[in-house]
Amino acid sequence: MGKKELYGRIVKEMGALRPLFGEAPNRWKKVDPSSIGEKKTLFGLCRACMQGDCATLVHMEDGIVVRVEGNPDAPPNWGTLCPKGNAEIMALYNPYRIKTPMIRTNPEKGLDVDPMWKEVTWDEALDYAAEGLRKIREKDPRGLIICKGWGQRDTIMRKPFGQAFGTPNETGSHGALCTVHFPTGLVQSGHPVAIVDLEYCQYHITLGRSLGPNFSSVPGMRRFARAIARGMKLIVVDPRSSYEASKGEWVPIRPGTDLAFLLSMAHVMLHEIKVFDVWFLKNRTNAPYLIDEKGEYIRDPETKKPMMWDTVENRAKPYNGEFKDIALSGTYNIQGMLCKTAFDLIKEEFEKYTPEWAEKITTVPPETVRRLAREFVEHARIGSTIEIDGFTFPFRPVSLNVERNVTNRRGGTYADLVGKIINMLVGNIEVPGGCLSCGFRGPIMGPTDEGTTTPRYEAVPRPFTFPPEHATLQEFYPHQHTAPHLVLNAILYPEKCYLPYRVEGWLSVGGNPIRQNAQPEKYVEGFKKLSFVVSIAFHMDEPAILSDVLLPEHSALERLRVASFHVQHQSIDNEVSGLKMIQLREPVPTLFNTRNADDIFMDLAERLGILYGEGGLYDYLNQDEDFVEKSDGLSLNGEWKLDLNRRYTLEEIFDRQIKGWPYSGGKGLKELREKGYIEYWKPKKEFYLYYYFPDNKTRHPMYFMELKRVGDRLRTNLLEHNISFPMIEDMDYVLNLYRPIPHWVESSEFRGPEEGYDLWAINWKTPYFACDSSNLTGNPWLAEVYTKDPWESVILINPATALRKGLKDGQMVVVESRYGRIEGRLKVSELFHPDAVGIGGGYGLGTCQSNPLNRMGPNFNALLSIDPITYDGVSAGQDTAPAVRVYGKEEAR
Amino acid sequence: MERIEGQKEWGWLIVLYVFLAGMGGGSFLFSFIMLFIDRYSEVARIGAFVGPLLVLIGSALLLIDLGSAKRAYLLFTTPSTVLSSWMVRGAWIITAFIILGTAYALPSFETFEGLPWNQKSGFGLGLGVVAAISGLTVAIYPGFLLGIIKSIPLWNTSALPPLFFLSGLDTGLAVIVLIALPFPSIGVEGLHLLGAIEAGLIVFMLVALSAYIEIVRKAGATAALSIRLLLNPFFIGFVLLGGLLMPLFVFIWGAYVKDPKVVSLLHGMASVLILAGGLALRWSVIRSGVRIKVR
Amino acid sequence: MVIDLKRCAGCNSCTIACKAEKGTPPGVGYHRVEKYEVGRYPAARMGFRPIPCMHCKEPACLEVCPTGATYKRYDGLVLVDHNRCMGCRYCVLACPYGARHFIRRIENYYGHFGRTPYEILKQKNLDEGIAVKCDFCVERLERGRLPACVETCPAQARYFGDLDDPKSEVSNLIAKEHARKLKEEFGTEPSVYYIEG
Repeated sequence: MGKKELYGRIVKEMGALRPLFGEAPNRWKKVDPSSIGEKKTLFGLCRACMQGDCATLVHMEDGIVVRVEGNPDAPPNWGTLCPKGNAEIMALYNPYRIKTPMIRTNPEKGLDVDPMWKEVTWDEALDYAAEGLRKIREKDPRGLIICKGWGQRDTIMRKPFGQAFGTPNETGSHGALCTVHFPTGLVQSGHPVAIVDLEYCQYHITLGRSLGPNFSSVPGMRRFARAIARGMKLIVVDPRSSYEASKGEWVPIRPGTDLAFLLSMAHVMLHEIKVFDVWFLKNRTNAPYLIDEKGEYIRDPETKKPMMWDTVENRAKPYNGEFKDIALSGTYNIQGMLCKTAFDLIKEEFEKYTPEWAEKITTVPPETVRRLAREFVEHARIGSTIEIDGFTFPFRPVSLNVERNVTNRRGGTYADLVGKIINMLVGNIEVPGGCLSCGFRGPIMGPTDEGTTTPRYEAVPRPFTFPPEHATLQEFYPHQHTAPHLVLNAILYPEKCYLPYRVEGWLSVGGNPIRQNAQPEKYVEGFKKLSFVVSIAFHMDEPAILSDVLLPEHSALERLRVASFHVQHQSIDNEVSGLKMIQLREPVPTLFNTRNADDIFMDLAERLGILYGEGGLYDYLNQDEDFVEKSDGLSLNGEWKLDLNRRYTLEEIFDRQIKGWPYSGGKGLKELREKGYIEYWKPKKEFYLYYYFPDNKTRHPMYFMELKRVGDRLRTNLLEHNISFPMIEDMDYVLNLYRPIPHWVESSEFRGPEEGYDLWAINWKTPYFACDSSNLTGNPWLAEVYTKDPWESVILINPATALRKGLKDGQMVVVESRYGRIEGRLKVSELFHPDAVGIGGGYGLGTCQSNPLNRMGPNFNALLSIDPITYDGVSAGQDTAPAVRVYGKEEAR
Repeated sequence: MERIEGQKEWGWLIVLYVFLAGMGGGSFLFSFIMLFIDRYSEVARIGAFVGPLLVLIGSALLLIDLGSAKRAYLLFTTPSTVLSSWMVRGAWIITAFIILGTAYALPSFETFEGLPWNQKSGFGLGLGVVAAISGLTVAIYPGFLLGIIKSIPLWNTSALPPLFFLSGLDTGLAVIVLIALPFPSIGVEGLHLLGAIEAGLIVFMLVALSAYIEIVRKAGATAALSIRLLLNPFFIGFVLLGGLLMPLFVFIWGAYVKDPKVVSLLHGMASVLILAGGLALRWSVIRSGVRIKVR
Repeated sequence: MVIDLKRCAGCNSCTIACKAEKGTPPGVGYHRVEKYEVGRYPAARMGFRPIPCMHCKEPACLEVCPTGATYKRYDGLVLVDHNRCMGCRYCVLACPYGARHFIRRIENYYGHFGRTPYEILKQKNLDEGIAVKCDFCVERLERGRLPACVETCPAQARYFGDLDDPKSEVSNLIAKEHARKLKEEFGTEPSVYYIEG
């Protein structure tokens, strides 16, 4: 049976579920009779992917949504829209939505166990949920996990609710497979990631990430297509010839070995090409800092400042002194110690990472590494400048960027950091054409008292306490991103995790780690251990069917939303650089007995007695600041803060946020309704962080002292308590990742072949599946397209590999890692490295009451592990390229 | 590796229609000739009636196959399309054939003896000639209907109309043979004669079929794929062996048999096989029509 | 229309935008993107070709249409008059681009749950038993808008304009980029040009 037939069968099988959902159309609320004959258009804001910033127009006729399209007049998409956004109508008119509050009557839980739902009123459901949460809170508020995710990124009350409740355990299901933030926070003080300046970039190397096309991110694609059209050279180092690689040069690489490739590229630049942006290295990095034999900075006895060597005066001086010329290299005797420059130490460490060494690991031919390194340096135009708005910037039209498929494994943070070093060698950080962070634009790169850029966001280590306060175990992984996998370990093995309390409850709001993390069966086991699970739910996904009570929420189109615009994660160019904007989504009439998640939070808080007063939800909402955009984002400022003792509607709160927004010019929600957005353009020069701290006003760390310091502290703390990292015997397995100079380490999957797992499975976002917002895999329009797409919901391997294993195109195969096993239809494809097994998107799993489309296709994540040995010890990112073996299904044992 | 798939737009009803049209046209043609030269008239007058009847049934199937049959009248009210569309031409020809053929055939039956013409009268003969020409066209026309579709190389070849036409004659004659079986007047000799003609037609068919396959096979990648799809066991079994070689063998064998019963039995069997083969041929060709790749 | 395959990244926004604009039932779409592989490892890459109706100057579909349901408008758009189509599917077979569909039955996307309010409203003018195809969003054109697939394209790979005007953007592009037509040997003279990637 081919994919298409299967799809047809599933559509037919949907009928079997009908009794469960009732005669769906009849239960859709009748349209308001006054809207019959009426045509109107609402301002929309797309929510079909994590970005959620495409301006849309929602056309209605007779009270029915007839079309969602891009708003031709509004940034950032100017009328363009991706397939997911275009398909939003089907997420609204979706009979698989949860249509009314429900309480479980069957105590047995499982993905395939009917919970025997009892339909209840909102009051009953909220009382029931509040009662369950109250019990947990009385015992220990830390026992509640609040789990967010891409299913719900529109709520503003989730975080304050958790704070008011008193749980520190708010985490996202979405982040553990995307731990990409630490190095950019460390080196560029930015968040979430480093992107490429496509306005000017001429030569771009990208690894393990997408510039947009892979998941049809609209602004990303707009810029990508323009850059390609103007002739930017694109190098894609990837096990798969992706959408991007197909428009540039594909450099196939063995999965999970990017660190070795990057080390060898840095080696070629440091030891063979030896052309650097010397001015940048001397004046804008800590490369010239003098390091003692223990790896510490040599400090000025008086000022305690790190020191550099002045080659003219032949002496060491604090870095902030006056220098005639700074030594980038050399060994000096200072304070009776032999010291070297950080630059020399890095160079020494990288000496062994020749392209020939790397080839054995990566399979990338040495001559390719050498050519790419040479081209990268040549295109950097070291020494050139560009004037923007009257300000002179260094001009470096090259950038190398890495993301999740590089960073998500042991050594992944190192890989990103080596990437930073490569960029720093040509001086392209935060300057036009180069490698930019993509969060708040302002004076954030200021120096610490050691002269290096201030670590921000996830580069700020969380404090250590013992026993740990957090079920996310952030005490052990102080730079972690979101940590559902660690929470699960804490639920399943609380003693091994040293957790002083027990996790009792789970509140889901858009988060779904069962499908979106790893080892789903372990998550189900963990959920079964919990005493109370509440889901603010959109459809019958995995957490919903394991819940005790369901609080049905609006679909994206039904949610009122006001949001501030964030710089997109893929790239930037002048189309939106400098844009400050707030955007509005006017809700369409509701179809079912659902509510806005934020109203649900307020109702729950009110019932729990944590809405009003000091320390209540409103109080925390007053204090809340946009995590990424900081003061440029939406928050309750000054006179617009909420009165802590009265109830507000969501509209009132948005109105106050808008009025307090620094660029709104006193406008409020009423004015926002006029054209759906309020924009303010800052000068382009202010977009480049170099502008705020030019010349030698700040230094990017190249020698990662902060990392070493956190590692040293961790070691001291662990030794003090006579423990290791939870479920890791040898603490050096983790602490090896905290050295100030990145070095080669093996991932947990590297030696898979020795155990018979001779290939590595890889995953990517697809144009029809970005991050499971709006249940995209269940959207029948998208399903119709993805079932015809040759590379979707199949298992892809190179023909040579298939031949070697005696596998045939179209046959059913088993992919088995050491952690899980999935089945699927094989497709041979020239687009894959012979050592890769490609499984795109987020298909499969599902529940007995979910849309059957959600059960179709291979569930890649089931191959991943929650075992801490598979993490990168710094970011706590799980390995996303598990070692696997593939065999025909008939050979299954 | 991509799966090869034939078109799915036109299915069984069209296959039957194309089959019946060829068969109906063919059987009328033979009947007309037999009536004209005044031999085996007993059989021929039935054949002349059965021909248009078969085409009529085919046309009905065609009508059923339409998505919106209620609008089929537009075929006859849109004269401009006659210039372009083979389907309209076909509709006119079929209609003409059914009317004229029936008109020609009817007077030989008692009930219709009152009609002011008969098969020997000038007018009747005229009718017959025109009907025979239109019958000929009806038998050839499906080849053109499919043949002008450039996006399906298996059809888009000048080798298709002759193939379908020959098969039309072949199956038409088989119908005549079947009609003739209950009539002793046809005699062993008659059967032998018809069998000889059939054997000849089969030889022509074999030549035409090989030519067709060879011509299409060399007509490009998609065409070659179509041929691969076409030459499956069903085709070999029903068309080549069952529909052509076995009947040929039987007819040759029958020529040496004198016993009328045995000859009848053999010829009857062979004719049924021919009909099945003709149908299988239409089915195979229509369902193996692979569309060219667009890119 | 001109489609720049250098820009196209095969995302199918066009396909879904078309679906949403037209409300076509399952199995029927006026637009598709063919995806395929080009070359062998390690030089392999993805290839994409979006395929709307080509609105040919010499349309094969019009030629075979027996009832005159298919017609060419003054501005070159090839349209189907649903009230004249008898559903013979000759056009579906004749179109070398596979751009036509026959609606045998109007199915609904959520199977036995019945038609959604959206489908009920959008399909009220859609008949069963007729051939349908892309009309370049003629009702959008009449409102001064571009076809849905053109406006929505995130890669901005599609251009729409007057081919008869030698100074139009599309004419310039065709000349400058040596854009080509598909299956020219069929003599259909398509109005959709491709800038090859």
